[in-house]
Amino acid sequence: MKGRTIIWYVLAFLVVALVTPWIGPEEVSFSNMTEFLQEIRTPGGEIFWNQRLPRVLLALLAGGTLAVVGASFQVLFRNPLVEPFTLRISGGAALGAFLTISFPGVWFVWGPFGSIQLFAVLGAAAALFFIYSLARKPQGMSVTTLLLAGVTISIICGGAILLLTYLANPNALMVFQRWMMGGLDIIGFRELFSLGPLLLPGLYLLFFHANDLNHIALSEEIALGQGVEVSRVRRNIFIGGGLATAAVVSLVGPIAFVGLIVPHAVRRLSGFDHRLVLPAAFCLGGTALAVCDAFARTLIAPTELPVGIITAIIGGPLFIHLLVSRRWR
Amino acid sequence: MNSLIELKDIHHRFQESEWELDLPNIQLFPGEILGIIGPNGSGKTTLLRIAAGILRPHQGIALLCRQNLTHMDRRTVARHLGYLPQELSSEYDFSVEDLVRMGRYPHVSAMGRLGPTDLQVIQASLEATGMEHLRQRSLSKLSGGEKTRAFLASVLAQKPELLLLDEPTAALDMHHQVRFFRLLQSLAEKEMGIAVVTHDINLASLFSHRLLLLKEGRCLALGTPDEVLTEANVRDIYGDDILMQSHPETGSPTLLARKPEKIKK
Repeated sequence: MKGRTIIWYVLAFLVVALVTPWIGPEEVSFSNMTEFLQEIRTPGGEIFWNQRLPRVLLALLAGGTLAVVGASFQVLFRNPLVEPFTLRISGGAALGAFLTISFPGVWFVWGPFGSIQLFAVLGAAAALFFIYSLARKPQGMSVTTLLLAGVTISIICGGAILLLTYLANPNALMVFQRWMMGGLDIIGFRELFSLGPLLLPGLYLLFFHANDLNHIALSEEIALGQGVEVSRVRRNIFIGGGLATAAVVSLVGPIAFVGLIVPHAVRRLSGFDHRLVLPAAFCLGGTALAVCDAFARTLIAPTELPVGIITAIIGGPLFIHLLVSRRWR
Repeated sequence: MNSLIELKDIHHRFQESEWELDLPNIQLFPGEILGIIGPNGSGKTTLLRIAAGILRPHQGIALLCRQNLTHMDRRTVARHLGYLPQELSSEYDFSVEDLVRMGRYPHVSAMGRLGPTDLQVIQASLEATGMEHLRQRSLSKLSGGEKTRAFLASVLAQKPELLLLDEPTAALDMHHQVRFFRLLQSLAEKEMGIAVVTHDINLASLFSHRLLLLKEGRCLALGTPDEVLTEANVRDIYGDDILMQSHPETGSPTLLARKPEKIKK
């Protein structure tokens, strides 16, 4: 466990948080930003406060969450190639989202939740619950069953989505396809707050077990001997990671690779102490996604790319490098 | 004398398996080394896991310091009992010091913050196992003997009253095997109770106060090495190809392989 270098991660996080809201196709001047606070409305100030800032915050939060879940799941499943979406609860989220999109009758807004988001959360939660109850055994969870159950759920959801695709009208298809690409374009802070009820308990569970994760990373049998309640820790990390992923995926869609690559980068840089790895992964994951999103906004300006395309294009080769070099430990 | 651990009429079987473990009363006392021997599949590891509270037996009671193991949480168990499984490897390449620090788990807060007492215990554990000069070394760069001692240092940091060790010397050469058993002997002299599973009958016979001989899930003999390693028992377990001898220095029973017979044409 190398020296406490969390400060550099925090610094990168803060710099990106301060710089990226200024990046985008539209010019925003500093005076625009400050004028907005004095109730002088300019397009620039509007864009900064109601589009860029919430969007950057969402990127930081979503990227950070995915990286923390990835770091925890890689230890939990004893597999370096696991990421938040390996559990396939995103299949449930996609199905929920598509149902809402195909049947506009259910469009509504409930508190901070839009209907697409709410149904995506419900779909993800249902998938999570099914996977968990399938894999639960008296002796604890079986990792193999867990992954197989995830794949099965994902196939079922995929089938249902294909059916809906066949039946749905082209407009709904467009909206759904766009949702699947992942996006961080939110307006105002309402949707950010809607993440809270699932994201906060989820992240809390993961961070609470950061030290236990070290012991499980060592070896589950030895961890038992050292006094770790392994089955309880595993259950909490599974549920915590599932909740956090459900929250993120319901709002931004499946964004690939952040949750896979970032934890490995952090472990390479700072060792295996997950009390450091988890917060560092949060900072670096948020940083990475916010930077990718800044590219997504500017690369083909004035139009923008879905950020999922950027992360996949950057993350894919990195993943292959990881796979081939086999130096992930 | 109060036993550290007591197994009462333990009975266990695994799902979809004919194999059964059936044990009489077994106790482990402070300052005692109990060698657990027997062929593969005789139930040595299962017995150890039950005694460590990791496996819950179908019948019978395991008492740790006179408390029922099944009602104790893992953290409390770990303060009394140090357990080392057979497989001592980690997917992540921790350093020796990290490993030993992790042994303090049952004594510290959820985030594992260590105080001055903890650091003293860690230092003492490293010194007791002769691992102090290797504290910064990562596990993957240790030899077999060093690795075993590093993990032993880690369980010692738990400050247990008894140790349950599953074939700790299996991967070691003879020199390191003897060294390791000497280390166990010095711990037993400080009133620690040690149950050690091993395939090395001779070392077990030399260093153990008592031996437990298992065969097919049953206890064949329990007592001093002289009582357990009789001609009859040895023949029962290992067949006719083994020769019984006395250790030239201690007189403890020692086994040798018989000279191979000439191939008859």
